[in-house]
Amino acid sequence: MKASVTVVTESQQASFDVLYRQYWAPLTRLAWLLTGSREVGEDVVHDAFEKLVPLWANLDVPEQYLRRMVVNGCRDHHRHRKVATRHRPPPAEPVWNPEFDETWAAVVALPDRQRHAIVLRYYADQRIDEIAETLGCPTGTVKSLVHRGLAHIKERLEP
Amino acid sequence: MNNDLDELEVRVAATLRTVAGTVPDEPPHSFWDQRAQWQNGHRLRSQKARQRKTIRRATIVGVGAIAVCGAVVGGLAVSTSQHARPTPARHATAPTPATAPPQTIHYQVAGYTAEQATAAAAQCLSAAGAAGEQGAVLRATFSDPAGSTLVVTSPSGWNTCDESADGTVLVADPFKSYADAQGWGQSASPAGDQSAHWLIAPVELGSDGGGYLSKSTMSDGWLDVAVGRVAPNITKVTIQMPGGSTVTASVENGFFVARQLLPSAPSFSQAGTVPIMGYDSSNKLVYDSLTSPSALPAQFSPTWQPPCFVTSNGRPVTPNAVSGQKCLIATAWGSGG
Repeated sequence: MKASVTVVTESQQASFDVLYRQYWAPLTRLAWLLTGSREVGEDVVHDAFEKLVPLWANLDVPEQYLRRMVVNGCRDHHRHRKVATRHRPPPAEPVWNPEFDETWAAVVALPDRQRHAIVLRYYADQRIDEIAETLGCPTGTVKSLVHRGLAHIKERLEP
Repeated sequence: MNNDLDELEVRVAATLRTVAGTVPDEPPHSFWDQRAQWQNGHRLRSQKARQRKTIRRATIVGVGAIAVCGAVVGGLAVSTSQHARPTPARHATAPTPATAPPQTIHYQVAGYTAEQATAAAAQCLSAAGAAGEQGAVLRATFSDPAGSTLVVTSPSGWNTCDESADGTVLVADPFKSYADAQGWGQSASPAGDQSAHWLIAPVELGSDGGGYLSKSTMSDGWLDVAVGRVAPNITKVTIQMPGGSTVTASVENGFFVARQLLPSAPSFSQAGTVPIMGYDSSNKLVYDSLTSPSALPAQFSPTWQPPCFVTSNGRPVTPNAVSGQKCLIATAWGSGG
């Protein structure tokens, strides 16, 4: 990311921070689920806000822009991570009860596109056509991704 | 099956809500404090360390630029004058890494010289904001005034000048780097090693049922890129892109790439299989995705199972075979690699 040279006044900073505090949590949650890593999710969200700084005053609906940037950021991350993860151990994640642990591990283990479809369907409550628009693929592909994702999760959870 | 699926869906949704619920409702710092910490803290230091390491270790053995030959049928077009970056003036001041210069120019985008491509690679390597992850591919993407995409690659370290807000997207050079980035041939999954060398159809969009890379270009519009693999006998591919336009893709080295630039993101009403046609060297239609065994059903049902594919000696190519399902023979991807 390039260093920002945008001049921001104090009042603009305060206004931007209101936006940041309003959308940081929902976007971080979404990015965590999409990437499978809270650390990476927070990076993606921060980058999205960084890109918003020079633009936000002129945007009518900045949350839509932010959401799009976060989803795109997560997708970009996955394209890069396929190379990077071969050299890195997976980060430790919090522990919940065993059922959630198992299921979350199965979700994280999914191929990226399947996990994106599953998260958008069952966390973001998006319809199939909305997911298709978000991911930039046909609705039939989304149905297939959700179907295969659930099948993989089920397969992993079964003894 | 349905009850199992319903229970599973509930369990998945509850798990996702539980995981997400551990994120506090408020960020720990204001954006500006967080920004200062990141800019002054470990993130910047680690980026610079990785960058220095990358520059030291980088040996550029291949740099190329490729004109993507996909042409939009139907007349949608946007001005691409704002894509004209980087400029020669910027290149002229770009620092040169202490590595061997690029040795090969595989393709040439109109308007770009080999020197400019070399400078672009140097600029990418030394860019202050480069991601700097270790890996296999250096990639810089730029667009020329005519709307073609320039791609610069190096096999010696992951780095990127791709800026999502600017909307330039990788295509690939010479397609192999796209395969590397996607993990084709490198997957650790049981089916991955097989699927890297086999196709479930003579023309395969992406590797997992998708294959469109779409990106907002902010001020300039919307860019869609479709990438996939083809069997050795396929020399021409046409594909219906998001929004409905049919694009003729460029085909090379076992891959195809198609792209379109639109004024804004197209609406997606298409259901089922993406219409893709594959032709041989005599321009004979040899593949129609809509009549292919791997085509998605027009009406999806919870009991639908995607077809499974195996190699000629019976090894699974797709991971979705269920007990008793008869699998189809996959097509060898002969010219990839």
